[in-house]
Amino acid sequence: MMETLVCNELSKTYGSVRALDHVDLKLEEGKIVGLLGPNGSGKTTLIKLASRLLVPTEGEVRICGELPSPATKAIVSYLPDRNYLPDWMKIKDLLEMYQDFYGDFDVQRAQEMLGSLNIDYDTPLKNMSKGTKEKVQLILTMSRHAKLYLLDEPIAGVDPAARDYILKTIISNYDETATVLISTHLIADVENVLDEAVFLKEGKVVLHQSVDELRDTTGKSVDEYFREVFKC
Amino acid sequence: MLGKLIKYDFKAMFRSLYPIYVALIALTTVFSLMVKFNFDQGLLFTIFAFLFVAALNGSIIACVFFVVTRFSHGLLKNEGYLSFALPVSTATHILAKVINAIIWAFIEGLMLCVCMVIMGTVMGSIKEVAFFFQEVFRAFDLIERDVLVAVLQVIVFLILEMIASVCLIYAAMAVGHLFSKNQKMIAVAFLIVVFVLRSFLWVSLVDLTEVVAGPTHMFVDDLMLIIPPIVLTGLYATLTWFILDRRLNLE
Repeated sequence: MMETLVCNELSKTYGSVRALDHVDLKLEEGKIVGLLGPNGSGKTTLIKLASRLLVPTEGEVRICGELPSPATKAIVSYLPDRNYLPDWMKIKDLLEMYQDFYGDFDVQRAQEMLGSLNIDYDTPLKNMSKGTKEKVQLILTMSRHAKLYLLDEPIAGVDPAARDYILKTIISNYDETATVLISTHLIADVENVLDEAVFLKEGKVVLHQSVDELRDTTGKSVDEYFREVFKC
Repeated sequence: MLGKLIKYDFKAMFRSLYPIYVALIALTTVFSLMVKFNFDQGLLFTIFAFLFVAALNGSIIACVFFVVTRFSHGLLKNEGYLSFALPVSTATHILAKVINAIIWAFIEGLMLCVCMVIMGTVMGSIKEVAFFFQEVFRAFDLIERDVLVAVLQVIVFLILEMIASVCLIYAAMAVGHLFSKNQKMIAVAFLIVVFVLRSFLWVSLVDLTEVVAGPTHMFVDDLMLIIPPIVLTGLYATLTWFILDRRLNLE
């Protein structure tokens, strides 16, 4: 199987703080992987490095064999952990923009998903609720035929019904040959959709295993095992 | 991709600036009509005169303000997550912002010319405005070639200086971005330091020109007039690129 994301001795420091510490990680295509860890464990830093929003202090990250660059950004679909779309833009503007910049953007898929939410294409984002904005962002992200989806805390800060919608959208829209990396600390909500789990603790990978194996070897759910590993 | 970036930056700027330009044209027209029909006394006229002058100055300030905020919001705030996830190089992002700033500086200049034409047309007549422009163009024919070249040099210099100033402001914001606190204050401090250094540079260049070419040498005739802004633009743009490409840390 082809490796979509490879980290070799990847480190990132902010001043004297080491956010990632010599991370070695290989993610194969066709998997939904949970990047799991408490706040400040380095999840967002790892995703930002893969998105080329940060530059490593040491080591390297490769996307389908390439170092992060405009070329890899064309095959990576990234969902940040915040509202990043211009508030004044309407849905029709956003669809046009994604079509303009991403050759792999499937506007029909986006329209179908937006249709299910009954969102008016002429409504600016600023007039939408927080939950609807997050859904719109996710729809735009998942409407690309990307090789790697990097979803940073996609279910944080939304109600349980919205979480179900978001997870359903993820599993029903990613391409079979793509890899989905979901960063979260809400393990119980995502555990059923994951193929693999990566535990990050203080910037280090302390576990990378298939979810089935993890359950078999520990006799616990991922959420239970996570609570044990990260017990305060 | 450059054209697409410019298109979306232009759209963002347009929605912010067009109400100001509409108000400017409306106020120019009303003010000109008041003067034409001798309503040029009393409180109402004073208010409109004040609003007209405020709109004139306000449009210039707003243009600069939105050029600055377009850069900071588009690349250094939350929207930066969208911008830097696009399959576009950092250099292309910076170039798009600079081109957008130049486009809007020209639009601002054009709007001020439109206001002058409106005033001339309403207060006088279209014929008089046309005659004025004919005279301006005729004057160009009468000017000696050397003087015309000097005037063109100054125009080129002013455009290059404007581009250098835009790049300096972008560099200052990028420098401010390196710090987690007091980013705006650090950006302003950087601007002040660079202005002081630039003043020294200019004084030194004038002295150097006088030493090399003699005190009677016309500084404006020299290539040295356009070299500094080009070099400075390169330095500021490189600094901005380095910070955004290698030191970017969006919060």
